[in-house]
Amino acid sequence: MIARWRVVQQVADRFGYREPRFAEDEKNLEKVREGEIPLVSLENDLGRVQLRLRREGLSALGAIERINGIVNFQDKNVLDKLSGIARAVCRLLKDGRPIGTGFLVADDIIITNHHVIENPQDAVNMLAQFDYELDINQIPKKSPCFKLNSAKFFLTSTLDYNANIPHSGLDFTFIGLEPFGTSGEPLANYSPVNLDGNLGKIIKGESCVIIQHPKGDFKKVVLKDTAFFSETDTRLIYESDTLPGSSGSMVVGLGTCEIIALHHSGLPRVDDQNRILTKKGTIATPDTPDDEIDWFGNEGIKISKIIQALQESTLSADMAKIRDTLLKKTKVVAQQLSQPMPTGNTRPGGTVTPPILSPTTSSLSKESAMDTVFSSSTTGRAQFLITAPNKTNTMNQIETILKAIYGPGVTITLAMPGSAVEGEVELFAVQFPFSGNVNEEAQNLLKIPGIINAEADVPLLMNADTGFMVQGPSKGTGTESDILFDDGTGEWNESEFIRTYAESKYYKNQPELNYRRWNWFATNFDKLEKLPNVKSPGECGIQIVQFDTGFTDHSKVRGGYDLDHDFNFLDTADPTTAFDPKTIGLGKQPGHGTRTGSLLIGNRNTPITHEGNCGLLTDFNFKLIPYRIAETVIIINRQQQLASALDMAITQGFDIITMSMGLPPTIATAKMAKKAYEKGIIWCCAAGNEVQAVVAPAVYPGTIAVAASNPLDREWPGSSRGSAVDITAPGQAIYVPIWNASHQEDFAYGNGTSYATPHIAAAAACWLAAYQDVLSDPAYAGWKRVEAFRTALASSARRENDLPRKGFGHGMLDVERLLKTAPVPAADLKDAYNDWNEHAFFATLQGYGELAKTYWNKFHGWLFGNKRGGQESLEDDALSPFSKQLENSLFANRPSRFESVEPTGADTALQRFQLVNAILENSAR
Amino acid sequence: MENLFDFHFHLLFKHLITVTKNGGKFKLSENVKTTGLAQFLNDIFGGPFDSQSSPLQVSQSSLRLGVIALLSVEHAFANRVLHVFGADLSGVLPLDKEVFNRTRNGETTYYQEFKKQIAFHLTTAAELNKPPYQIEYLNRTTWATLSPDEVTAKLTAGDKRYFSFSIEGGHNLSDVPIRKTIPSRFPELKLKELQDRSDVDFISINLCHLSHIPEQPLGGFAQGLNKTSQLAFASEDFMPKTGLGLTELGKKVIKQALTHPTKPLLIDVKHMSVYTRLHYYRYREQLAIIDPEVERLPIMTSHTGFTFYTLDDYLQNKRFQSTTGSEGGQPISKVAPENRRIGRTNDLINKGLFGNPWTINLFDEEIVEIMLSNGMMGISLDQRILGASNPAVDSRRDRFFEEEYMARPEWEKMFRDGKLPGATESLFGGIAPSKQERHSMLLCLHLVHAVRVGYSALNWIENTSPWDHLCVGSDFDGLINPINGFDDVLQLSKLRGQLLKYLPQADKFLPFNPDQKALRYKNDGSVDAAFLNDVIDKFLFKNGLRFTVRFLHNWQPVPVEVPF
Repeated sequence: MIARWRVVQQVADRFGYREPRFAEDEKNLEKVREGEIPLVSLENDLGRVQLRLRREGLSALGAIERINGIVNFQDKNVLDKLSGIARAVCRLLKDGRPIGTGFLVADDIIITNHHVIENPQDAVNMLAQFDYELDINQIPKKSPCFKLNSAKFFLTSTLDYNANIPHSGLDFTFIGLEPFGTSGEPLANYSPVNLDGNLGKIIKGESCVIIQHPKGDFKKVVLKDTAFFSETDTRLIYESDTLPGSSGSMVVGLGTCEIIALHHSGLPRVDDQNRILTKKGTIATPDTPDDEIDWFGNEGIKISKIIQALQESTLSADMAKIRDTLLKKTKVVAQQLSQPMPTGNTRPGGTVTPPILSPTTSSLSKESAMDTVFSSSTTGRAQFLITAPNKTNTMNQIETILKAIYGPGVTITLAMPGSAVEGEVELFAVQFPFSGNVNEEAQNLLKIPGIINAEADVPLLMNADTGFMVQGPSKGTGTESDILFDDGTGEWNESEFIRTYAESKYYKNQPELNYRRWNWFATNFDKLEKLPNVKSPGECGIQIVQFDTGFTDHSKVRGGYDLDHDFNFLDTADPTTAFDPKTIGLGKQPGHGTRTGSLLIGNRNTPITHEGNCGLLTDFNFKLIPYRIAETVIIINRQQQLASALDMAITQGFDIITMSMGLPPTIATAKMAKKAYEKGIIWCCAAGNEVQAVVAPAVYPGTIAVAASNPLDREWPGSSRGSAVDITAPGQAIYVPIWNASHQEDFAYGNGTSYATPHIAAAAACWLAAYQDVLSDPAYAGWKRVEAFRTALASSARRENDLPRKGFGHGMLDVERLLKTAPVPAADLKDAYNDWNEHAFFATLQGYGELAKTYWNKFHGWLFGNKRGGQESLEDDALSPFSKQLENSLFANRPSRFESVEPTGADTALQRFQLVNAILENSAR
Repeated sequence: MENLFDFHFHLLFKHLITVTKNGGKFKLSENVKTTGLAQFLNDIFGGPFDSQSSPLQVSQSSLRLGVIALLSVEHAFANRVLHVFGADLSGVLPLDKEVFNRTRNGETTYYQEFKKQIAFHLTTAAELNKPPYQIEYLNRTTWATLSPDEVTAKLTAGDKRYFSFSIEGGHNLSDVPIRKTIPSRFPELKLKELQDRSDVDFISINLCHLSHIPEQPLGGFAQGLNKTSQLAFASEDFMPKTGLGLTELGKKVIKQALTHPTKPLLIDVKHMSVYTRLHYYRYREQLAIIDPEVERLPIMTSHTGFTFYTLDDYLQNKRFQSTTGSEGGQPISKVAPENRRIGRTNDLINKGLFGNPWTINLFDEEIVEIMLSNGMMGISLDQRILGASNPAVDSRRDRFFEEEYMARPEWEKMFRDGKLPGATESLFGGIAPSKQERHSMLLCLHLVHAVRVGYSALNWIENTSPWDHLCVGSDFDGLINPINGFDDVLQLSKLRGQLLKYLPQADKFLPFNPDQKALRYKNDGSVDAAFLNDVIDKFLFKNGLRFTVRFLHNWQPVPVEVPF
């Protein structure tokens, strides 16, 4: 046996120079514990991380989730496993005196340190004593002793490294045992722990357990958090908790319950001459008590190195057979680890199981899956939007984990960097190479610590202009299909207007052509100029940003745009101009922004035949700021485009956004609406067309939701309605500029909440200007500005109308009364989100989001004639397994299966969207 | 005694943000002085904590005219100023915890704090008016009835010191809690409030300062802090990351500043990003179309350095390397400009002199733009702005000029011994500045550069020259690292000597526009000493005096040549 001091000195001599690195790793371990860096980032060997993840038998995300959680939460079975393993540990006695620890690694072979048993002669008069431990009553157990038998098997590696001797310096000894104890007890009572020479049994930062006989005492297990934090080529370095006599103990990786090292020595701190230091900083001597030495940690010989030595050593035939037994586990595990990694939605602790379906619906699972447009990434780079705390540490953690899983190509950036607030939960755009189902992967992203919500940023069809309703009867009167053709051109349709609204008070007995601006009279905008407190919004610095398809050179709107501020948020185009190139073609219908914008800034007189109507703010020489967020009214490629537009509107300090486009409820739009509200931006949103349910962002508490009425002061049947609606404004049969089939400028009467929305934006601009003195008080800063407007809008609304009593907000916009309505005291305003359970909403949305988007896209695809195919190359793909289950549970009892290609599919899609939407809305209220 | 004008310094800022050891306030007659560990910190951060231009120091100095910048402490400074390098230094630094804590915790607004700054200056005005300070704050309303000659006479008579105020940073106009979610929407109304006040008057406002103000973005700012300072305060807000030129809010502030009927404020382009500055020049022209009165208001920068590049060259020939990426989820981009050697010293190890090519400093086109607007450029006395980098070895930078061969005798005379041909040899002694004086050379190189750019680009009628548009903008007490030898306002009296010594050398050695000399020379090649003295007069005082007279005359056209 080699004296302990010499072992420690040898360690100091060999590894003293590496102390700075150990210290560095030790610091990093502290950072992990402080939560500054993620556990997986401590490990610099990516191969080891991957193997470690594989050993979890889970998807990479599941594995990471588990590994990160292990520090604090262990499955109880770990105790059972450790208890089993611990039985293999024995105390080694020489002449009846304890000199070390060993453990059974095959039926009758133990391993210990070379410095405990240097040679076969040492083994004479040695015993291996098992069960030397206290029972639950603190009474020593009966502990049988077995003689050592070096003739059966003996293989050793010296303490000192000798370059001429292969595998020297590993300080291990394998030695055989007699099959029966000194009192006849069978060794077979004790199960060996088989060694696994493969990597990945532990990664840095994970905890390990040392089962030992310290100072020859009863068997001990240290239950404090002892982490593996550094290494050399042949040693693992872990935190210190052992005492002399522990030499030869087993070091178990807590995460895998595999033996990771043969404990070998403490690792002392040294001076620059590798002299061992005491805690006081003096030079230690062989007489220095152990507890006075300044230990850095412990070191153990890597099992992988021992197994390698075993494999490559020259042995007799008999011993070689035994060696095969010792190597068996290593081979088996190596095969397992070479299997492909499990994917999908597997749960920690279980094997990969198929989705559990109820017996009645399982047969439907394949057939009933809704087609999901754009559910898989074809570009090879998938885009997601996540919410997470905007903290550098959290972001670095998330990024590290994402890179560990998806490789170095991961990018993560704030979706709205300009308006982001440090420490708040913010929206982030995440991209990485990926080719699977992005909706499924979005759910997987939730397993990454720090990520609160996640959704795939897939293209969404938009609820903006229902001019494409060529497929059949719409929910509304369908008059848009009368004015607009598939390519976006239209035709003058005044005769139909007159026929339909002959009895309207805005037509009957009115001066010639006044009816073309009936929307003015319905909202009292015509009386605006006579009001004493009316001010030019532009001169008061009030601006309106229009989120739409951009501007065109239509004479009706020419000169009405603020081209110093226009911006294009589309991915591919020149960002500095929001010009809408009017790409004509099926599904490329342009000019939506022109039509909606004309209601704000349309010129009073143009040479266009059929000239009429003009912008509500034109007389103020108001300029509208166009933000181009979509190429066509049909589709928004990425919600990120919308986020960027909102971010710029906020940082520019704009007051009002008018948005005549709608989306299904999404995590991103919900975050955006809240942000705009907090920043005091009045975001006027179309309630939605044809879907009846209020769409996003109108549906959120932070925005102003606008429904549509007609010249009879009744509702436009196509208008969305619901408790989210704040106000109603003219939206059916509104006189707007178009191009006719000959591509000449013209006008037509069109429908949509798209047209109702600008009325509210105009009213907001006038009201903000009129009460600027009051509203500039800091008491009205932030959301109170929005709420002050909403309150005034509600109390001034015209209730004499023929709108349905519910679902259309407080009635019709009356701008005359609005301007007479001063802001209520700021202290009386109530945060709209007080009655909105945001947590529940996001939680529900996380689950139902994919279904909502899928039904939405399906219905709008039908509206836009998707069935005829090819317009936007919509790619069909299956729902993620999770959403399939959800769909089955929601619609299991529906009689007919849903097929997107059938005309009836549109109704089903709409019904399903409405149901999911209702679930979402109800979750928050 | 030399008369001096300083376009940008702080008088009572440190008195406001500091406390004495006993927790009390420093008296007006006391200088803020650090001791012990704080002094050590003061030294390693280049002296930002000790007074540089306190009332007492000012009273002992040659400073007669100038502009006092008022500002409230930004969140980025308050964020961790008491926790430098992770250690809590609140007990060490003589900073007033109250000020910093309420700023850090958002318990106040910048506007509130700014008004406290004004109030402090006004309440102490009576005391400061008396000897030894004899400081009087300038206000256009009280000078309006005097003719330019009378103004000049009054400003230069007696021992009085006259100082205007400026607003350093648009953040001072924010009336919402600091760095909370709520945005500030009416900074222009706050500015109007200040302009409408009769008890105080401001000559200018900086739209931006050193940090991002998320609750009130007015326009892009240029990164100003680097290295140790950045480390000390450790706030991400010092690194510009978002924004695109002037925001709508920024334009509202500019419009309000320039179009106030009786008390317009100049826009100080210092701290704006280069993009935002260009945006501003354009917006100013647009405003002038609507309101021609704007035209008479000059463009100015109160404490700048130069990049020594034309923007055209910089951009066209890509005199920089850039990288983009994200840090902590924030999209970022970084630009590393090419170093430009602009001069040399006699220090064997530390021979090269480089400008600071960071875009916080002005490009040549901007120098021209400012001169064209009849504007003024205060040259900073912050060594980092002028180009000094590493205090120990500053002459090694990544990219060197190519070596060239030189005749041995010329080399010995000029490069080894530092002698110049002609009369300058005897007049000014050694050519190259000593290690201690290298920063003076930097200052002179800046002056010569601007003048040469001006001469090259513009026509100058008799009695005008590019020298009319340059003055001192020390930024004392603005947490700066002053140039060597000019640690505080008292040292400014040494400037004339240094300028006499180094301006001719700078004119000799500045490699850009070498044919266009900034100084005048006699037929024998010697420097025209009268002209040299005249331009130094202008730089040190007369330009500032003229500018102040114009301010007090509310920027109405006045005879260009004010009789001095």
